[in-house]
Amino acid sequence: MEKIELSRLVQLHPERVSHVSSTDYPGHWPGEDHTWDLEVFRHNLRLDIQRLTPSTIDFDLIGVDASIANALRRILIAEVETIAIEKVFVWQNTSVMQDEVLAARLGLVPLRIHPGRLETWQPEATATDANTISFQLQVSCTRRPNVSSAETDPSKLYENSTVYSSHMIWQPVGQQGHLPDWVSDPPAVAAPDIVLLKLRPGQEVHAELHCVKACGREHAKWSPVATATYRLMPHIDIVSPVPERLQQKFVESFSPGVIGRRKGQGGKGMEVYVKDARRDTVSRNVFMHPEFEGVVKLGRVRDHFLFSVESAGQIPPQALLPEAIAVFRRKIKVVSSALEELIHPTAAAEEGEKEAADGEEREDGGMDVDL
Amino acid sequence: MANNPPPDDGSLRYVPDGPKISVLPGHTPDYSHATFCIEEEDHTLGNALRWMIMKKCVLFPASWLRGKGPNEGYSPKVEFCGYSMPHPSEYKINLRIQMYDNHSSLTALQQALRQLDDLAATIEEKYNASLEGEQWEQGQDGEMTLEGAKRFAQEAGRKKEREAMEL
Repeated sequence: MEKIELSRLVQLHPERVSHVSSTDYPGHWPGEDHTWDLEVFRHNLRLDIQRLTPSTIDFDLIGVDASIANALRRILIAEVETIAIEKVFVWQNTSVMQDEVLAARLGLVPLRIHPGRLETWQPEATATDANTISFQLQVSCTRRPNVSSAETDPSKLYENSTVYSSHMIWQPVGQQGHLPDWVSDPPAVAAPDIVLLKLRPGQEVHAELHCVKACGREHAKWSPVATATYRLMPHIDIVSPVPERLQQKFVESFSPGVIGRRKGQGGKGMEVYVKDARRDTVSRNVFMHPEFEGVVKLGRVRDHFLFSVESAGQIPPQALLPEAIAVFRRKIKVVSSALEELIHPTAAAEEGEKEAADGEEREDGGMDVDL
Repeated sequence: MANNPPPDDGSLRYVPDGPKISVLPGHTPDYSHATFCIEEEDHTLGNALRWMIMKKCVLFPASWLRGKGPNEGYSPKVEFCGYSMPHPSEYKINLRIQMYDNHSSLTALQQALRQLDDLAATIEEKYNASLEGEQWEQGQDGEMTLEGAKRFAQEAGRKKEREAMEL
């Protein structure tokens, strides 16, 4: 197993944890410089994608502080914008599901639409082709002719006994139907087989669904992930050999696949070794057995984050982190330029401030300090 | 500061009190100790910014200071940095910065923002490199059918047997 400096480890003891907080600040350790240096950071930073599936991505982020990893996780969940159904105009609904229940349900259907195609919805905006996408849901249930009277399966007895997300049909508005991007890859639901509601003969549902762009902070239906999490890399250090008669028990004290057995050094007998620490759940079961006291040291690597992100369907998993980073950089830019404005106010802003100052007395004097 | 009234549409949306960033009353005249109020930000930026401000804010690049005499490069320029959200329903943070030696907290904040941006760009760079490297395992999404669940259980059973044999 990779040797990790003790300063990078959160140590796990039978009844407590220690060395939890990061200490990589200037002035914390005598003779150690922890000043921010981009080149040093770049050298130490590692990002390894471990696994990619059509809906999930697992990657290791090594060499950053928890505050950075957490910022990325929070942005993934709450601040990456997507498009979801926001307004449902129900023209007809004779099903057993109430309008409001149906509307809440429709809102949660993930839509596979590139978020860049719409402007972000502003609270007082009117719907236009630049900020709204419209879907039509019009389904009625009828009896199928010539079905055996012994048949009990509703899907065979009736036409449209179940309304699926694939029944939602995109209705191009304004320019939308003429844009090449939209025509070649029309807005659609991320999964066609989501059950929306069930109908019986004579019942019908007819609704217009308006979709807008917003982020998960507003409502979870706009969150592009389900969900984004990280954990710290487990670290297992076997400090003294385990006798052969106890090896089976030792292996079973960890999650399957964590500890392996191999021929010992010098060709005599068997020894245990750490095969794959990543698979450990850090149950600390090994501490329950008195015979293993002092045999093993457990810890977690403080700056080694195992991210696991599942896309809800709107954005492909490999595109999620770049989106999150773009949001993060945009946030920084907004604060940066506001700070710049605070230090060196431009003429236009001064005008505005003067007007504001006329109305009420300002608490804080101007920024006439030499920096 | 008086809170703006909530919007008329009945929603509980937060309306910012002032500009995106402002200095709260009580700062030192040279801005070496100051509390900033940042509107419409939360722990996401607050904690990252706190870390970055504490992390360095040596006003010279570390590479310049290295080897410039005993401990000169190691002395922190930040006495204290912390942030809080005054109330969970108010979407803003207060960021307190106290500098040593009359250094400006405004400069410190400016630098930290720039460095945070560099950091984000570096992470993206590494991510793209890893994506292009194609060293990852390509997996499939599991199908949640009864047959799939049975197959999964069988495979898990076989795997357990294999592992028991190995031991």
